[in-house]
Amino acid sequence: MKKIILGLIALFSFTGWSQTQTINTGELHGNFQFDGQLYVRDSILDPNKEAYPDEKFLGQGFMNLIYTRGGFTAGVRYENYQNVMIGFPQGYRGEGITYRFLQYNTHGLDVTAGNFYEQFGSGMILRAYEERGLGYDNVFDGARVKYSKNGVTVKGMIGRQRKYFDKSSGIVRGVDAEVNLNELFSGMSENKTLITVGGSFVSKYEPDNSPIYNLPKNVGSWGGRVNVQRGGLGIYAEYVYKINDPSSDNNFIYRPGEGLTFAINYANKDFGFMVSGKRIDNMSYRSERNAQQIETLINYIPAGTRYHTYTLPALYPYATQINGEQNLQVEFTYNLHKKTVLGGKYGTQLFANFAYAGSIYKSKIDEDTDIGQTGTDGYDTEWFKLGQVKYYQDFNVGFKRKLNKKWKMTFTYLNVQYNFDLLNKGLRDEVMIKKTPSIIYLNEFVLEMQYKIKPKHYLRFEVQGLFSEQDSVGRAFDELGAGSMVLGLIEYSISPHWFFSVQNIYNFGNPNENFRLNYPFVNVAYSDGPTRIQLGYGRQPSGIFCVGGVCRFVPASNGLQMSITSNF
Amino acid sequence: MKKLILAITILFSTLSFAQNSLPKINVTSVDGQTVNTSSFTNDGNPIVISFWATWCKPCMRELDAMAEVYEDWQEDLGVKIIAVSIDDSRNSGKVGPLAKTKGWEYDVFIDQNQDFKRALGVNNIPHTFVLDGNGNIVWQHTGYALGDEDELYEVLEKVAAGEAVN
Amino acid sequence: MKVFFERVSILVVIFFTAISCDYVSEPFQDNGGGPIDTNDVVMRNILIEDYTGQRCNNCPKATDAIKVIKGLNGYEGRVVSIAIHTGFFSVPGASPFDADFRTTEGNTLESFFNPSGYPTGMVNRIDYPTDPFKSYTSWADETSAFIDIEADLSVDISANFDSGNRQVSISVDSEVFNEIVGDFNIVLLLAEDSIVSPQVTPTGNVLDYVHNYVLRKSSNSIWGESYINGSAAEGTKLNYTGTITIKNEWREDHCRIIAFVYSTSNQEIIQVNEIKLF
Repeated sequence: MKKIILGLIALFSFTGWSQTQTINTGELHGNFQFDGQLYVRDSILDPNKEAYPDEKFLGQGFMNLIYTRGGFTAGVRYENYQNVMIGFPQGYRGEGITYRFLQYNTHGLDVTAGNFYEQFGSGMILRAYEERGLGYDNVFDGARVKYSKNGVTVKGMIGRQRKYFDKSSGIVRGVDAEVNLNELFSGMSENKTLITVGGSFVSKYEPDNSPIYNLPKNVGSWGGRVNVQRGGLGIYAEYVYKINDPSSDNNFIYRPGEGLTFAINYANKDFGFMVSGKRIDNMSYRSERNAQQIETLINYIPAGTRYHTYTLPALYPYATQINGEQNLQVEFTYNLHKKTVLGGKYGTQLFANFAYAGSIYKSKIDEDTDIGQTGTDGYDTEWFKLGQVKYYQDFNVGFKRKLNKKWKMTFTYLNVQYNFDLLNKGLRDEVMIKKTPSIIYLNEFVLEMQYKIKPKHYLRFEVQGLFSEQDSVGRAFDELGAGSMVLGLIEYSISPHWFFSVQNIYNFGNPNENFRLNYPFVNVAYSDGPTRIQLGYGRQPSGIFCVGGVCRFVPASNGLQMSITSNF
Repeated sequence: MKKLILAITILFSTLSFAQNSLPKINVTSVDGQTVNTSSFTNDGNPIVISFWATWCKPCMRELDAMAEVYEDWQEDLGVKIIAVSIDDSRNSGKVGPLAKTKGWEYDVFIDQNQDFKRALGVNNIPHTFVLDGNGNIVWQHTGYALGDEDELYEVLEKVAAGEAVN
Repeated sequence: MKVFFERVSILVVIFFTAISCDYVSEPFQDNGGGPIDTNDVVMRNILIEDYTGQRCNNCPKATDAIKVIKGLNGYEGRVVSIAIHTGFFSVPGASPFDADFRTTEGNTLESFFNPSGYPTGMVNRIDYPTDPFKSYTSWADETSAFIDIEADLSVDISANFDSGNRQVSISVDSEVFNEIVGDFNIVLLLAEDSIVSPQVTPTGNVLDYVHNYVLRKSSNSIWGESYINGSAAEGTKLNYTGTITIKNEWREDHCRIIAFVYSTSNQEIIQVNEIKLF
């Protein structure tokens, strides 16, 4: 191993010097981030000291190094968790090199050996990606080849996915082809209608060690997609089929899986309109059939609801139900131009969004078999029938308007229905069909104001309210997070370096009087070029996280948070 | 072991320890066409590449603020702003419509699996890069505070004049 | 070029169709077979540690999985299980969930191993430190990997209950069959069965749920005491004794004594056994 490294180094050093015209020894750059929290004992939040970590300080970080020279790229990432922070998947313990690759790119051919991220189509059949803030990383370790010519791109890959500091036992192989018809067919190159089609094959292998079931070792899936664009109109559709794949997610049923997703959008400078939907039936696809939470997922099915980043609405998010869901989302944006009656002097932007997610319609396959019964074909379904269980509904409207030279305003109203049994307890459809639904009804609003004190000095205010009805849905625990809340935030920024903010959440509507707490939080950030350092102190509210029937409770915490990120 | 460290030290000393050229990565236009980042050129004028997402509020503030002065910047310095969205398939369909209804004149692209973001070493968005006339990265900034576009303009002035940016 | 492309794509399609399709037809269950006939050879038993909680609504599924495993053809007597009530889901709350099945032993285990979601568990504590927690749906698979393995040592338990001071005197005898190298500790545990107490289940709260194999106490700390130091040659006979006091609230007629031997270097359990106290 050492000799190989020495050899490579010698090779790079000498080939650099031997080029007499340009001394090109390549470029090395990188980035890193470190997050840590010093936890403070908070006896009101946590009387039994359940949430307080023994280590008192938890910190994690990573550093990437990338070397490029001509068409050649090599990279490495070192990660460490000493120990992993509360709220993060607890499987990340220790440290090590979790990402390393060699890549060569020439004349349309791109070859990678080692770790790589990849996406076929929208990701419904295969997507390896990273979301460092969530602890999501299902990178492949293997080999990938991509070839592009005349509008045709063909990709092939084989590898094993990452599972914390280890590899999954399953092997994934995939092929994808995408054709841009306007580039391929010269007759279409001037056509205003742009069409792209694609198709994929993915298969995973995992040995069968079960003393109970006859499990398929090779599970294959295939999919096709089309994208049509003309002027302001775009249409996208993708269909994926997966053969029998009994797993922990679907309770070991032998039913094949299907997924269909579509999106239609139209926009011009006055308004934008988007409708998208999906129908997912048994599309959990993992490298390991017993994997839990976010481990070794091969595919990616996004949540078909608006992604809320304001703090209170983000406490009740929707998570895609990969075992099955019907979903529809409609969004409308309207631009009231400036100097019109409604638009005002500077213009106003309006938006409205509606999303619905529910189960697919399930019925028994025969008299003696329950829906979703383990070791059977599971259930029967009908494509166009509405499912029996509502999972989530979200209607939100709002506007954004510059009032005058100093003030800008954004206002949003949300009306959310949140199925607590599904999203906090991870209950299955067959159970929810038989009981009355536990739905939390929420009315929320967010008012954001921006005020310019003087050049480079700005104030930003946020007032948020969350009003929950019927939050006596039998929370077995997590009473800390229940009930109505109100939030106030003031942020003062001094361009280009400083940020200060003070925030408080008051849980005034908690059914338990002892839990009507305040969650104050103070934050300071300094940024200079690519570097940003952030320090925060205070209380963070609790949350629960259920994926595939296994629930992770993220407790409320109190302490000093720090984060440093940079790029070099 | 010692030899290895010595060799690595020699290697590092010969390398340009900085990111200069833009990595050549495929991104998608809002029309669904594949575009390589090597085609990001501006006739020798400065280029601003800004990473954003439809759900990133500071990113939207930055792009809205730059939109108000973009015309002037184009006239004065010939600047081209390229806005690269890292939205994945959950929101990538909204990128084009959003840019249109906001009336942004930027070149908007989508980096759906974050390959470009990863190749540039971006950790968090918003993250903005400035390229000089030769396509080299000369300045970058993470985060956005209201009014940051003034600092960006000063950097662009220097770049357009051919001066070094510290 | 076009023809070449077409040919390549056809080959690719055939290749993938060939390797991608393991269509499984009925019957899906595989109840035949079972462990090989072992005569009098002492086999390696399996300990399943079930991390659970009374307010964890999916945890009953893990307990059911243990029932299925113990009921498999030939698995009787080979599988020992213990329910460790720990973590947020076992914190007592408002009535009727005010029972407290947590133990210092369980809390120590939780602190050390760090489960990240409930239900979860370990099978013979394998794959420590990279991946010791196994999803309950894979416990059967992991157990079956040990079912044909011969033991390196036996663990025979005898126990005596003194109703006066409520102490159980436990004696464990072991015979080493194959040379064992390394440092191993032995742990003695008391577990109680048939505790009727509420449990959250997927279908709702079951007030008269029957909890079995609930961990109550260990004779020493949960890490036990040294049993094999360095090595033990074939034929060696070992003995270990310990006492556990059964609290008044615990019913001795529903108790079991569990003893297991594990490696202090990688946590792996090399033998486990149990007896019912009565």
